[in-house]
Amino acid sequence: MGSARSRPNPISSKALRRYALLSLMVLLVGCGLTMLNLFLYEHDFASRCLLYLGEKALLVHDGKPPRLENMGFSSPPFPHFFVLLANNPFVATAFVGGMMITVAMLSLYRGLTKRYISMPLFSVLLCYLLLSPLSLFLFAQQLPDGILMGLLLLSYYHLFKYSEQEISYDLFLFGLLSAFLFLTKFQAVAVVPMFGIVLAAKYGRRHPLKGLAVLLTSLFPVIFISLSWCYLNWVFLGDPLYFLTHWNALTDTTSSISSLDLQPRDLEAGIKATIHFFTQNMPILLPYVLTGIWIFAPQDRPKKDMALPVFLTPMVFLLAHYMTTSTAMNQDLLLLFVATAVSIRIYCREQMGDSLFKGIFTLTMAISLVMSFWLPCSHNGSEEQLFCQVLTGERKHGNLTPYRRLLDRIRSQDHILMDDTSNYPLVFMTQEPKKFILPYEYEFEMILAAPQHFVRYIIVSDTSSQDRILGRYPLASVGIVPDFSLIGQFGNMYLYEASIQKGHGLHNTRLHEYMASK
Amino acid sequence: MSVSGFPSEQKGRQQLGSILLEQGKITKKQLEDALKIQKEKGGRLGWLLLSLGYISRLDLFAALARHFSLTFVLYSPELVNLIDARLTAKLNISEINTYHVIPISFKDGVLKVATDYPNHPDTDEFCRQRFHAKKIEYILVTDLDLMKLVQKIYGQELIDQSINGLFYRNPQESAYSVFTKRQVVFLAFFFYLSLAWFYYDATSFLITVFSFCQLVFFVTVSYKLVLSLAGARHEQRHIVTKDEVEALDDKTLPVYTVLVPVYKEPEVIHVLVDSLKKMDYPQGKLDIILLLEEDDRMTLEAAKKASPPGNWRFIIVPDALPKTKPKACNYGVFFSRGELLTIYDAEDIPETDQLKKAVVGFQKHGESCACLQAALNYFNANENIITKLFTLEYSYWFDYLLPGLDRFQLPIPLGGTSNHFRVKILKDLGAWDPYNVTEDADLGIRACANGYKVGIINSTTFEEANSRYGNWLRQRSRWIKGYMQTFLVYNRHPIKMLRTIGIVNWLSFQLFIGGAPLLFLVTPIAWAIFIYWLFTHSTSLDPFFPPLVLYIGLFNLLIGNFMGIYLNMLAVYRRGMFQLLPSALLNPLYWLLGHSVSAYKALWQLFSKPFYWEKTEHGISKIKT
Repeated sequence: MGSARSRPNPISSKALRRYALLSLMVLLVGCGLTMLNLFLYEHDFASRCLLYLGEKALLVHDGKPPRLENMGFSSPPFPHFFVLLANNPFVATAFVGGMMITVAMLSLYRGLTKRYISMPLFSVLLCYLLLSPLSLFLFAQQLPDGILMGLLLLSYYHLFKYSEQEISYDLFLFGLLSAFLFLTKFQAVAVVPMFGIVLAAKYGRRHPLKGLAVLLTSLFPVIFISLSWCYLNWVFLGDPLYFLTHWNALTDTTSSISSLDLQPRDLEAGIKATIHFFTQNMPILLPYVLTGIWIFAPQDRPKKDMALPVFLTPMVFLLAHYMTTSTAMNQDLLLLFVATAVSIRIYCREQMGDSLFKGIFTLTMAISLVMSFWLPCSHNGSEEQLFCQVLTGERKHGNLTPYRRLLDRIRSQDHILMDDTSNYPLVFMTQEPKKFILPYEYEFEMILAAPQHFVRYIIVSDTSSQDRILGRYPLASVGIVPDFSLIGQFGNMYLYEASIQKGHGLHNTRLHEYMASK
Repeated sequence: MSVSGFPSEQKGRQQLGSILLEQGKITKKQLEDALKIQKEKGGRLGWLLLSLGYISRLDLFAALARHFSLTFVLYSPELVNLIDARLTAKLNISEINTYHVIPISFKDGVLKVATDYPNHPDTDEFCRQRFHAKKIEYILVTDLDLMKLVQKIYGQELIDQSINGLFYRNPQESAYSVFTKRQVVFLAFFFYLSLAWFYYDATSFLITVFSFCQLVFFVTVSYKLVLSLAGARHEQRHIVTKDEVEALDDKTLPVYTVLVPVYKEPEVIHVLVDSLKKMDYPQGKLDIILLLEEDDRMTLEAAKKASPPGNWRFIIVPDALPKTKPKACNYGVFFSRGELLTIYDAEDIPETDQLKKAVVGFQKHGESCACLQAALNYFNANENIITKLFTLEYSYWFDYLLPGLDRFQLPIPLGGTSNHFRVKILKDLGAWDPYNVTEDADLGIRACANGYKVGIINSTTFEEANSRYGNWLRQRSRWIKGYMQTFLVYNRHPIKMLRTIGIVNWLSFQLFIGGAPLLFLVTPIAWAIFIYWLFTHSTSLDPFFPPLVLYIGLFNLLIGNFMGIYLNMLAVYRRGMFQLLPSALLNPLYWLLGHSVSAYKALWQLFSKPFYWEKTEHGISKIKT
């Protein structure tokens, strides 16, 4: 070939420095959150969500056999992706949280330098990010909620931008983000049509074809992805709607509120629950309420088109949650309301006009910040409360104590029959999934029919309606399982040991023989 | 220097305008009009009068002969016989083109030359030095006659250089050999190895093959997504603004050569002729050359009928194989006079300010920029489903993907027309490869491989989208075959190329030029496997899809097809072609029934007739411009 000169690609040193600084910050914050998680774990605390994700990752990596399908298809897959990569839920959650905190800090700093927000507001928001127990709990322990928050904030950003500048990049990204919303929390998909319709209506007035195009572009990704998810459910589980039929079990098991507020799942009940949620948490939601007043109050200046749908997003999500589950919403998602209010405050700053309103907004943010220290600690039975108590030393041990006590009673390496729908913390805490016979395995049903020949221990949970062992042996919650004797009750778990002591080698041999024959 | 290169009239001589007036060739009003244009835009008066259609070529040169007191002769076989071959042997074609001179005879220190540029500042000195002449005597001929003389005298060399010039310059860059010896050996070895592997362990072999294909698809989809986002992000960025174009001084614009290679297109040639007449560029600085094949009288007559301005040139390309567009363009380059050059097809409708945008673009990109690619799109987008899908594809390619490549300064595969070149660099690179049926893509890669930049400009040329399936297939199979050829050429020394252009550019090249045909070929197999499993739920294929391969395959099936559709949806926004959006849903079918079928045809032709140029029929659209 002729004279040859290689050309360097255009990544400037300034950009490299910026990326290096960003990476360093993510690393620092991520490490901090990881250390926090490890500290909490040492004191027997970890959120159910973390344990659930950790257990699924363990089954994928070390299951029988190791494969992706072991994690099941009832939960949205996107949070699992990070945990699978890191193979450690503490690290994965911490670094994803670290990235979000870093990006949020930098965005706020940029807002400050460009005078979108004042210094007092910046300070309050920074404290909220770094010091609020709700925030720490969200970013350190609640990966799906953290990702949901990040995705929604990004969606707001691109929606506002598209509404102003009409660059297809923003619409395109919004579409992709909406698909990820579905893959993070199924209920979040309820907000997507709202945005699509508002955008379509805006453009449809003067250009009907464009309105239709915008509607299709914004809805297509979430429709396609949800159909793809149905397809995957069908391929691996034989039922395309498996994730819908098992939805309730998921939220039961990963809710941060351990007591269930049982309620009928319909619109009326949903609205009631939403109102109750608001009144219960009003101090934290003050900025959001104030923003609502601004949006609905008549004014001279026209408001941005996307302000109302963005404002309604947390409400729609909340309503969708209450209409589809029977549990209260996690407290950390209160931050979604606060973040939404802040987003509107920033994007609609010019329409908000006078500094009085902005000053009041800052004041409500300060109140919300203070209440975020108090409110979680006052909500009995919530993980947020336990988190605060363990963190401050008010409690020496957390929610994992019953599990530890149970595991201490299991002295041998023999197999354990268990349904991990609610008892997944045990699998995670042993870090030995092969020790357990779990529903994901083909042999589960067979072993369930005659466990005395195959396993030494059985663990039954009496709080989960979906525990298959309890379903097979309904008297297990009162100490009766044929050929097994109750060793003890640990929290809501019952531990049984096989009664045929001299034959315990026999049933293990049979299991090993059976496994070997496969 | 203008197209003709004529300098200012010397003092003491009767002015050209007055000569023509005196001869009754022009009216006073016509002269005033021409002088007004000359004042505003520059250019030579005689050529302006010619381009406006006020005088004929003969009139112009006859007047010039009188102005310079020269003998004016027309081309004839007797003139050719007078030319001393020993003298012409001392010149090459490039020098003739540069100095506008053909030596006729040399006696007693007096060199007689034929010229169409009697007072060229360098000709005299050049001739004195080259031929050791004491005195130069000029005989005036028209520019077309000078061209005819060149074709007559150097005809064989011209056609040889047009066809094999690149091969002589650097055989390694020519697709003359479809496969090099090394590649044949490598392929044979690879084939043997594959057979042996398949024989001893078919399962692991098939797993490897499936894995590789899935991985390439996955990487390609991800890569295109990144590029599309980069392209979409700067959707409203204007590489060349309207203000920059308006700030150009017509007087300082360079001469621009426009090559129009046509073959059997009498129905549509008038489209381009009409478009070029409307170009916002001083006609005196346009060097438009229509390249016609020797056996194509119909298009020649149709072109003449379209009444092109008198300063346009028609060049008849001698009949020789391969009969391809790049060969014709190479032939035309010998006669080009511009500093910049572009190519248009017969049915093209470029935006009127495209040439000026290219001028600005070259100023901005700097001397290392070899080429600028304008966007291509279709005027008959809504005609039928084929044109809709084609338009979506092109819109995505030129409005999002190429800008993405441009943002990252990655190699840009050029489109078929509306490539704007710096002529000097074009010649340095060896111009087009006549043996490559996508000579444009090949040239873009060659420019990159030689360290030059290829960029884009925000201007569009509208073409006719193929509205018939068979015609579309022919065109697409040629393009894919060309990609295969280009891939083979630039993988003759892959390590050397990698070291030259860097890992990122190299990977980009492999994915675009090699990955595309591979994926087209593999797609039907993947769909067949999927449909087979869907209907039978057979587990016979399970051993060939271990978990990781299965997961990537599922990802490709779902997300790959999703991206194909979604990126096509994106394509409607820049141009506001929202009515095309629902057609994007048919993208997977477009791939399967269009690209994949073409790819197999291309593969077959790569071995059976690699240089065969599938002629695309134009002028069949029901929508007239």
